Amino acid sequence: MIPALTLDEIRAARQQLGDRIVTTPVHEWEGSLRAEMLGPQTRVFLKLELLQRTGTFKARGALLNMLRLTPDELARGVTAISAGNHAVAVAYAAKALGIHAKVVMIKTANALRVELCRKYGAEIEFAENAHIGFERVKQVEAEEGRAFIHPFEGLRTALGTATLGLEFCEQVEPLDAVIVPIGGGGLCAGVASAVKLSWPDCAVYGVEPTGADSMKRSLAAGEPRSIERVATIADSLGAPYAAPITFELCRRNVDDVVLVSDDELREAMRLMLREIKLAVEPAGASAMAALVGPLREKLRGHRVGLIVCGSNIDAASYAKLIQ
Amino acid sequence: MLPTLDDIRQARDAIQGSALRTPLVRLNISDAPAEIFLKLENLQPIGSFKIRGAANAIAHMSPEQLARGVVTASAGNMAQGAAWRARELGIPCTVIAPETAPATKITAIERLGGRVIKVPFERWWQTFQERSFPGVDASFIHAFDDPYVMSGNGTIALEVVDDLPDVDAIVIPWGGGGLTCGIAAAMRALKPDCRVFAAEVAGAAPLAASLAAGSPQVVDYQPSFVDGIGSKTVFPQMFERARALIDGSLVAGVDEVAVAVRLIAERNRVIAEGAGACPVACALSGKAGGGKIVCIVSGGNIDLHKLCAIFGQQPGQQSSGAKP
Repeated sequence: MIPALTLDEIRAARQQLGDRIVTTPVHEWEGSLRAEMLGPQTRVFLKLELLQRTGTFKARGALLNMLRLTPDELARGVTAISAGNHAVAVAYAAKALGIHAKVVMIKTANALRVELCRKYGAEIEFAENAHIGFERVKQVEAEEGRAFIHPFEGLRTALGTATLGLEFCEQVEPLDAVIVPIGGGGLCAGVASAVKLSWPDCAVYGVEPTGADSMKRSLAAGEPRSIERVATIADSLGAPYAAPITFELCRRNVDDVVLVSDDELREAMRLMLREIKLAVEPAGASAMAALVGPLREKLRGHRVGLIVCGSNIDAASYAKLIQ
Repeated sequence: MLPTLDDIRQARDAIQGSALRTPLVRLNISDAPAEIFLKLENLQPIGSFKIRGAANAIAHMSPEQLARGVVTASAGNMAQGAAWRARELGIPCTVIAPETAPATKITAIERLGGRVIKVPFERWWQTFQERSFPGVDASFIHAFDDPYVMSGNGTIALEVVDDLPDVDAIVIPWGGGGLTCGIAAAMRALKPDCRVFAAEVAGAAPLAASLAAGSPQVVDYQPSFVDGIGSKTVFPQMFERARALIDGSLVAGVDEVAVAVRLIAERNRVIAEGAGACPVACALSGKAGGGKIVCIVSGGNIDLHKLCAIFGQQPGQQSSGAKP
């Protein structure tokens, strides 16, 4: 039986993270297109987690996982597998705690993320693809005795992301709906839990790319499922499977999962650039894509929260996506 | 006349609800000559700080003045600020714009319900001196030489000092000088030992030349993608104010500004227009000294194709700014 998170646990987690994590600002979208697209009564609040240290929410879960390792485990160091953002977060957390990190990055990881990992002092290995990477990281875990910090699964990870959700709930007056990006679902598991604990009547929507819909499929099947092929420009949302704890927390707390196409993601990136002056990678624009896309009519006239989960993308790649 | 601290505190109350209290964030790089912070005015609803001055100027108009509507002369950002607030109040707004104004800025003004009158650059400049435009019977909002506009701009300093009490230096883009003088006036009262610099871009830096000469100078103006600041000369009254208030004007190269636009997007995930990135370029070069330096990222209104041109290039390869 997977336990539910409690507000006390989440508060304790936030306290433990301390000032290694910043309380990211909430920003209301007031630009002129908002009223045109959604009607004048619709209010939209963005949780700017892309201003988090490392540029991604993943710093919360990675750090909390490490803070709860034993001194022995800390001494042996940590390892992780990631297309980039989680690797950056693990590298940052390891540096903050003064321990060693060896991260396996997928070869196609964005150049900026690799550079950030290096800057935080992590040792980097590259893997041809996610499958080979997962094999390799298991090997590192076994041979070197390093603690494996999972990119999205686990109660500690969910507790880490729940600190983001609780923060948001304390920063704004109650919302009618919150939209949360889903890759592996670690962000959504924690945020949805915190939102439902704070505001039981608030709807929580997950958003996945059409080409990486593992959570939607899993929820439909009633159990964690894998997908055969991941095809999306949102490389941070490209998890090939849902995992048990994350799945269960999402199943209990998420009202629905909607899908957005690559074109909708690009359009939302341009919208956030034009209207809010944020330069976000596709994952960071996915909640906005869901709001102005599949959820537009349903949420018209409501108070909506968007989780802008993070962004690490080099300028040239960004320009290619929005052109 | 310069705004007093009281004026600026009153402005803070007057613009609450129209302008946002913007975040102050650290520039996420480790190898800079100073600890650099970004005051993200680009996150204002219209994408620039101008909403503060416009909202404060309009807040101080009489019902009769308001009933006539407002008119301003602006290449883009002040016009959007005035149009935004005018729309909220349901009054007409007319904008005198130079023919050279970027199309996206004109479209943005019109989308906010502003009426745009395009005039040759010289005629546009004249409007700042005359403070009116023939045939437009409306209350004029001067984009920079106006005590209420400067007080509104000065509210930025109140927020900076609240968020970072031990700030060592502030670097502010110099366009007409209203932002610089507003913030500098507040800083001189709040924290006299904080260094205050204007930031200009090479080829359009009349303040630096005027400070060096001790009197207003005319420079050979080179347009670049940094279109929110820079002109061929300074307004004498703004020059006199600035001279008494600031520690100098720093000048960044067009290429350096392009690098800063890229860096801010990559490391802090926000879009700064050239003017907004100019202070960061100055701080990165070491010209503003060390310690805790706050750069005023004044706005983020930049054409998509210009932005992509900058982003598509590697740092240092940005040739002429006019090209993108």
